[in-house]
Order: sequence, then C-alpha cells, then structure tokens
Amino acid sequence: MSSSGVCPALYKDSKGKFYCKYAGGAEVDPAFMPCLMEYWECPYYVQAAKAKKMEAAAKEKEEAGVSVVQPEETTRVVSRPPTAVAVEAEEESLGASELENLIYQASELTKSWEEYERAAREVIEKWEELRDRLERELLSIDSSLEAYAAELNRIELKHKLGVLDENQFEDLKKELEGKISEKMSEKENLQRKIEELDRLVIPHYKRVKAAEVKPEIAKLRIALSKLEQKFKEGGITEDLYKKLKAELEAKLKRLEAIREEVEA
Amino acid sequence: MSATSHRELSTLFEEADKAWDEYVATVKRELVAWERLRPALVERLSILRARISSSLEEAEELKVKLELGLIDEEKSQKKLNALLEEIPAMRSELEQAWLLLERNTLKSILHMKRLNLPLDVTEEDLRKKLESIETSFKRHIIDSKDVYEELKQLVEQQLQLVST
Repeated sequence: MSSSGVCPALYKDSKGKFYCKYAGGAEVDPAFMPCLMEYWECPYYVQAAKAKKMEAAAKEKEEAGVSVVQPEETTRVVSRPPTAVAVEAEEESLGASELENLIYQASELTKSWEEYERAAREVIEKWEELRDRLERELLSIDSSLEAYAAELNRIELKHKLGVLDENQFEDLKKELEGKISEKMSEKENLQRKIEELDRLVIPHYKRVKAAEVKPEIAKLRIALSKLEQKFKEGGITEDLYKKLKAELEAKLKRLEAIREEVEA
Repeated sequence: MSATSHRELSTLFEEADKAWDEYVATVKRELVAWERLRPALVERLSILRARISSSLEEAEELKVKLELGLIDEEKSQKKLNALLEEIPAMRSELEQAWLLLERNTLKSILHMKRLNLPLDVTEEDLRKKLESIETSFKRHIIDSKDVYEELKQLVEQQLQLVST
C-alpha cells in the first residue's frame, strides 16, 4: 500500500481529467471513488494486486531451485524454582486451554459463516433470476390489461355509433370487464408474491453484501463513468443509456443505504 | 299482359332481396362474433410484442453490462442464450396472429362499408398502424419481409376503404 493514501493506478492528463490504469484506462472521479481513501478496497485494485501476487509466487517457485540450509538456533534454558514453575505451568495451561477453546469456537463460527454465506448467495442468485421472470410476467399482464382496456373503448364507440345494440354491448362489456378483473387479480397476486420474496431475501442480501458494499459501490461508479463515455462516443442508443443509468443509480442507492446501516 | 308475366314481374327481385337480407343478417352476426373473438387475439399480440421487445432490449443490455464489467462472461452468455432461444417462436406466433388480425379487420371494414354501417376506425388510426408495422420491422420484433409486406398491404387496403 502507498503511504501517501493515493491509489498507484490513478493518473491525470493535461486537461486535468483522472483515469485509472487498473480499470483499463477508464475515466474516474476521485471525489466519488476510493482512489484517495481506502483504494485497497477497490475491486480493480484488488484484481491487480491478485495478479501481481500470482506473478510473484510464480517467480518465487522458479528461484526455489536453490535452497540454503540455515543453522538451527540454540535455545537458552532458564532455571526457575520448582513451585513457581508448577503454578506458572497451571496458570499457563488454563490460559492456553481457554485460548484454544476460543480459537476452536472462532473457527467453527467462520465455518458456519462460510456455509451461511454460500447458501445465502445461492438463494440471492435464484431470487434475482426468479424476480426477472416474475417481472416479465408482470409485463405480460400489463400488456393484457392495456389491450382489454382498448377493446372496451372500441365496443363503447361501436355502441354509440349504433353498430352494437344494447344487449350485444352489455354482453361484450361484461366479458371484457370479467377478463380485466381476472388480470388485475393475477397482477395483485404476483406483486404480493414479489414483495414477500423481497421481504424474506433482502435481509440475507444485506448481510452478504455488507462485506463487499464498498468495492461494489466503487465498481458501480466506474461502470457509470464508462457508460457515460460510451454514450458520448455514440456506442449505445439514448434509450438504452437512460435505462442502464437508472438501473445502476438505483443499485448504487440500495448499496449506499446498506453502507449507512452498516456504518451506523 | 298475361297472368304469368304479371306474377313474374311482381316476384322479380324477391330472391335478390332474400339473399341481401340473409347477407345483412350474416354480416351483423359475424361482426358481433368478431367483437367477441378479437380481444383474445389482440391480448396475445400485445403480450408477444411486449415480450419480444423486452427480450431484445435485455440482450442489448447484457452486451453493454458485460463491457462495463457488471456481469461475468459465463453468466451473460447463459442469459443471452436463454433469451435468444425463446425469441424465434414468439416472433413466428406474433407474425401469424398479426396477419390474422389485419385480414379480419379488412374484411370487417369491407362488409361494414357495404352495409353502410359507421366505421369505428379513422384514417389516422390506420396511419399509426402503418407506422407501428414499420417500427416493429426495424426493431426486429417481426422479422419476415413477406409478413411485413403483407401487413403493410392489408392496412393500406383498409386505409383505401376508409378514405373513400
């Protein structure tokens, strides 16, 4: 880590704009990024650090062909009165066993957490996939409702024009209103299911994400910056740019809320 | 004048009148049946259009998200394959359903004009429909050039009937 607290990958051009070497030269805004603070938590820094470590390990392995045998250190023996040694030994063994116990408990806790985290991530991934499918179903229901509403207007007009008589109009109207009511009920049911799912999964999402909220925020900010650049260069349409921007900003907001909760 | 010619003259157009009355009754009955069946067809069309449009948008989004580093390649490819797999079947169903709608709409306008019944569709409505066909073809919501041409032709014929 650099002692100055500035990420070593950050650099500035002649126009005063900042860029990140580790993020493939993407433009960044250090005011909103960890470049000037805990840059070691930035996912791009972490990725680059990992790559460097792997390189160093590979180099070490190559050099490990030559090994030097070091002489063993001699230990000094200090003699003490017998009773003092016995009491000290007892105290030491109590402390040692408490320590060992705690180490054991902490390791078990780590194992439990890792198992929980694995299971939670699996549930979160399934939740995200299922939520996408349910959102698509909601979209279908909304399309149906739109279509039926338009048909209702149509038959009202036909009735006004005298093409449909009163009985025909009432029959058709009843059928359409029945279908609309069915779809509304389906929609409410689906929305309730999504809310229930969110209510159950979001606490786990927060727990799992709390550990990675800062690097995730950094990642999203870099993505937003890249998105802006892409749009300026004409790489994507305005509609797609607006949609993705809204999605990323909503995710950022959620993560920042989690960060506030964690830091409170 | 003989009795036979007198009888013939007085019943001369009866068959035509009968045929016409039958035609009118049949058309009115079938127009009501069309109003009953149309909503399900229009609903299905609406769902298919929305689903195809949303799947195409999602596929574009996935590509951009991959470039922005928001999603890994394996996950993105899996999602993309799932989306691209379902689109052709939906598209084919949409194209057939849309043709069915416009063919029947053309017939309903034709028969209503023959019976001098007031139309519930305006030239503006039909021009908007033509725009919708163009947009759908440009955005690959419908893919077949033949279907696109036929849809355009059907709506242009509707426009011709409505504007005369």
